[in-house]
Amino acid sequence: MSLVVELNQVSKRFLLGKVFVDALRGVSLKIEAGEFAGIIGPSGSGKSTLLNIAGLIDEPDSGSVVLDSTDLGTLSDDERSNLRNRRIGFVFQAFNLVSVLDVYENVELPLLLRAEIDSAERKDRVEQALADVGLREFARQLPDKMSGGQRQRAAIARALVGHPALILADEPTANLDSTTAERVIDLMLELNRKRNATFLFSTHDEKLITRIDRHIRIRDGVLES
Amino acid sequence: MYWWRIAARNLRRNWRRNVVTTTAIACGFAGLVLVAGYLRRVELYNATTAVYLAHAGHLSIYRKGGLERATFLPQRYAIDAKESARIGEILRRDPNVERFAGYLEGVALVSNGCSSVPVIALGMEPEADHFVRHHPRVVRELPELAKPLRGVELAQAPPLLRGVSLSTGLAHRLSRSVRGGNADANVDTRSKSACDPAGSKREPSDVDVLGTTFDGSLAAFSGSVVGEHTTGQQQLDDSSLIVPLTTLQDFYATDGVTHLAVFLKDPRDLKKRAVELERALQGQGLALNVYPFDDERISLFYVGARDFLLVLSAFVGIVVFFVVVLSIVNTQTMTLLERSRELGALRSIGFTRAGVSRLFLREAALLAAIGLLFGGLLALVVALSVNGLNVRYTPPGIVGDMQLMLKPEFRAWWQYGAALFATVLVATRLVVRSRTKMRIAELNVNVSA
Repeated sequence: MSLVVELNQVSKRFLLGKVFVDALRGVSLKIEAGEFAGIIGPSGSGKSTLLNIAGLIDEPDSGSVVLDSTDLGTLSDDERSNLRNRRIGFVFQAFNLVSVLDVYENVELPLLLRAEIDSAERKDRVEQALADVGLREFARQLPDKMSGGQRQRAAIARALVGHPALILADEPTANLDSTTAERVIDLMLELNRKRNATFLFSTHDEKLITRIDRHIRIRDGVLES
Repeated sequence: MYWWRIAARNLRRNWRRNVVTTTAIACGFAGLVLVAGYLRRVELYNATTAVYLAHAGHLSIYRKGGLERATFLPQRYAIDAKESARIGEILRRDPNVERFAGYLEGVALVSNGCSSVPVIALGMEPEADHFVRHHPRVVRELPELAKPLRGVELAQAPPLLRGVSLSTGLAHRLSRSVRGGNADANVDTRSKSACDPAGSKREPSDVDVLGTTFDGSLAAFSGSVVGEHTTGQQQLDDSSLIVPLTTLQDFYATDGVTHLAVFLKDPRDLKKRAVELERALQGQGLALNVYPFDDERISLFYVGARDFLLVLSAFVGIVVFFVVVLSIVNTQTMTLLERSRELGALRSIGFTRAGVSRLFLREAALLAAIGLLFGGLLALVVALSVNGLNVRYTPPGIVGDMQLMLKPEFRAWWQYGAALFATVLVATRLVVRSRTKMRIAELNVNVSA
């Protein structure tokens, strides 16, 4: 299996009030293509920070991150944005859909930044992504009119549509009831198995933890296994 | 087009707040355009008064030093007939000169038979008076003053009559009225009984003008008030006497004039033209000075009023600028706070900082365009309504009343519009910039969203 993302001795600290807090302390991690891995740990353990750094939406204070053989430390902000658009998909706890866009437009959004994708291909990809998450009939629905599960499925479709190397999901089931959470987990697993999509979660949801192939435990900014 | 549609949807989402911001932009724009329209009207009024009614012309030609000293040493500083003719030759060669005329100015006493008032006597060719009063610009800007307030123009006075025109304040002080006019309309009853007793052959329009010739001899003539005029300026309106040039030249025993007024077809670049004309005249051996009408030595009132209006417009502009900037900063700050998560999501899926800024700038541009459109319409409606209502008022320092008119120039619309549009975009850019500099991770979990 090929390596998708590699973190080497990554450290990150934040200033909280007047105190510096070490969110990550020398974390090293490799995620390979097709993995369905979860970062597990209590609140404040550094799960989200690890996910953000792996997903290029935050930068480490020290250490290196390599995505698809590219060392991210050398990239400009615009280059990082471009790489995020092409190689990474995000699923957020609060869905973070654009409320004035309907489901179709939300899913289409990442592709609009890619000039090489023409409108016909864009349409095919969006429809395929919506079909994959079972939202074809809801394509013209605004996010505000949809249930939490549907919104999260729309967010997964948006993450999938660019055919990313890695999909990062930060507590994807935290805002969902248990039945809906199960369905979302089933969907992500199905996408992992059928389309070989690489998933990396942060979670403390027991239902999700039991379904994860690889458990990455973190406590006080240090990986336990 | 897609992104503009998205911007429009975002504006609709917060429509209440955006209506308030649009209203602020619209009112600010309308206010600027209307204030500019009012100031332009006043500026045109004052400029027309200075150039035409005060007979300064766009350019005034004086003997060197004459502007300062001709009143005290008229003989030495008058421009004689020969020089006038040579100046005329040079001016006739300039296609931009619409007309030029000589004016003789001096001091005298005007008497009604029992009291005398010192005046500034201005002698002009009756044709020059006619030209000024019927000039399209005077008719357009000062229709109230385009014809004598009472009586007739000097050019229309019977030839055998030594017709003079008194300013309204002077006519009132001397209890004189226009020949053949309604005497009671302008005559103080006590003065009338003292100066024009019953049975007297003296007409209420008769005046005597007394003074000294340029060489110091006593001089006088009797005249008849054929017209009543206004100088347009309160400070001069009780001491102005206008008589035909030849009458005043006879009175002062001179063939000269104090200054020549040059009226131009295209009155732009007056300072440069004044310098060029002065150089041309001096090149012909004529020791003369040429002044543009907006030189404060020629038109002190005009220059003072213009400077005041400039300060006023700058003040209004600054106030509007701050109102618009604060409105936009407030709206965009609130919007960005509310949409932090959306902003984080956009950055997460690959939007660059510049890309996100462009989204918000499109919204601001739409907001500004709508505000400017409504502001423009509002200004147009208000201007047309005010002009149509014929509201009259008396501005400080001006004689009589004038119509409150708003004359916004096309240039003002697009200049203020462009300035406000740019202001809105810059204010938005500043707010968005500070937000896009935040860490994406922080935006994604922002609690205000």
